[in-house]
Amino acid sequence: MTTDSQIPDDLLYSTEHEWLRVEGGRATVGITDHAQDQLGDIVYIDLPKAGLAVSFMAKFAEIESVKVASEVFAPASGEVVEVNPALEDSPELVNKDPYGEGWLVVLRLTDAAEADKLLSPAAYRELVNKELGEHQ
Amino acid sequence: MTSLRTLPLRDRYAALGARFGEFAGWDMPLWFTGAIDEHMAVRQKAGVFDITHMGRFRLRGAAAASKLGSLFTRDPARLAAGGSAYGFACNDSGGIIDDLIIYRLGDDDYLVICNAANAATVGGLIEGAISGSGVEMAGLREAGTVLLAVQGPAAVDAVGALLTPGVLSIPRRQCREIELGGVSYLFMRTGYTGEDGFEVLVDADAAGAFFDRLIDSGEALPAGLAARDSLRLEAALALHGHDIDETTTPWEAGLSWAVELDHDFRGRDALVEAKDKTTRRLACLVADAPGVIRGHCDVYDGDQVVGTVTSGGHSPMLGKSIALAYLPRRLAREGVSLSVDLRGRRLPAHTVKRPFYSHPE
Repeated sequence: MTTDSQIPDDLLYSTEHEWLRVEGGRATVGITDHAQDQLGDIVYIDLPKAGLAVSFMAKFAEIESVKVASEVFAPASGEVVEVNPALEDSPELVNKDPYGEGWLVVLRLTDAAEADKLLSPAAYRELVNKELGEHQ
Repeated sequence: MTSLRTLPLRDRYAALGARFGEFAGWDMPLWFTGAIDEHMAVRQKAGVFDITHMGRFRLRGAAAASKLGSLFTRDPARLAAGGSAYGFACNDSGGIIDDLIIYRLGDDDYLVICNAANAATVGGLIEGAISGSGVEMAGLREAGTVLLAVQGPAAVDAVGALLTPGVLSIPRRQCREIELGGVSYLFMRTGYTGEDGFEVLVDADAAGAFFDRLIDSGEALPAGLAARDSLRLEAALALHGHDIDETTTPWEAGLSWAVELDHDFRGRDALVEAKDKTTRRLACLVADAPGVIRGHCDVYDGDQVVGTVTSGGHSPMLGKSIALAYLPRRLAREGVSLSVDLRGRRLPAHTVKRPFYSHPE
């Protein structure tokens, strides 16, 4: 079984299904289309406040879907400089537009070399297909 | 890994894009388009659930009523033909082995529908009770039948328009067998969503065509177990294995209306003894802040743990989290401010009258 979820070419991915869009010293973070599809309807997101320091692959947010509570890990170390204000009232934006309006936070990066530890779109697609295969 | 049991209509659901998950040993649709859309469709119009996984046994014979009555908190002999009764199989302590519905199909002819996870247990109890009595038992789940629940304010009219207007005159909680085109359908005007509707028992071949017509008509949305769970929780309907089990009595669960003490059944003496002596009661909680209460969360009165959540989730109708929890009797009333521990975060909540939501009359 191969995934039909979207995996944009211009992003980096974590093994825990977060994406990272690096722009200069900052990066926008969200969860992947595959992740939101697995979670089902999202009803609440517990996001950090701006100013929080996060470290690579440490838990920084929690997403509650109708089915399950799921932790979100930081795909980069840095400081949270922006939090998506729309998600408080409309957490379903993560379902509808995980790479756009459903972004979670913006980080100011403290370690640019960490990007090497993340997955390319092709490597992430391979990971998703492998996980789908294991669930058959 | 043990292999999961498969619904006869599974291919249809896969073609509609269903997300599947394991429930009670069955591979079941969790949702199709999305659990919240499906929940709202059932509240506003209609949805159709496949509940083929549920246990069902047909009992025929002169002693059927008395044998079933010896196991269950309801006395089947009191049902008129076409009637139904919700009740329990209890253990000797009055704890709930399962909750179920008994339908009287005709003279000496009964159907018992119970939870999927308890089907083997309930089947074993019935087998033991009817042994040597001449009552015949048929496990319909194993006989290739499908059970579809069509639920929602438009459900009864939709079934009437698609199959036969004959179903429109079946009163609430009643059932009727109707033969259409050589196929026998059992229509039961019962459900587990807090809405009007039918549960329809029919052979798998005819069930597929019925499901297709329902969906194609646009009158009902296919719905999965996630919506079934949020709907039953809003209606504050207990789920066995969570809100009720062998350690809880019907008194504690607030389900005394489903116990008839004036007939003899297993667990009766213990229930008589326990009546009016319960120290806890199943209560309804509504969250007063964002967050989702889940099963097993601790409930606090001030800094003291006073109970544990048995079922919790998001209520699409209220837009808040709701939960059921056993609380000391003094707290199990309306308007008590409490809090719930969500993995270290304390979420304020208050008690409300059961249910959380009921369909406006």
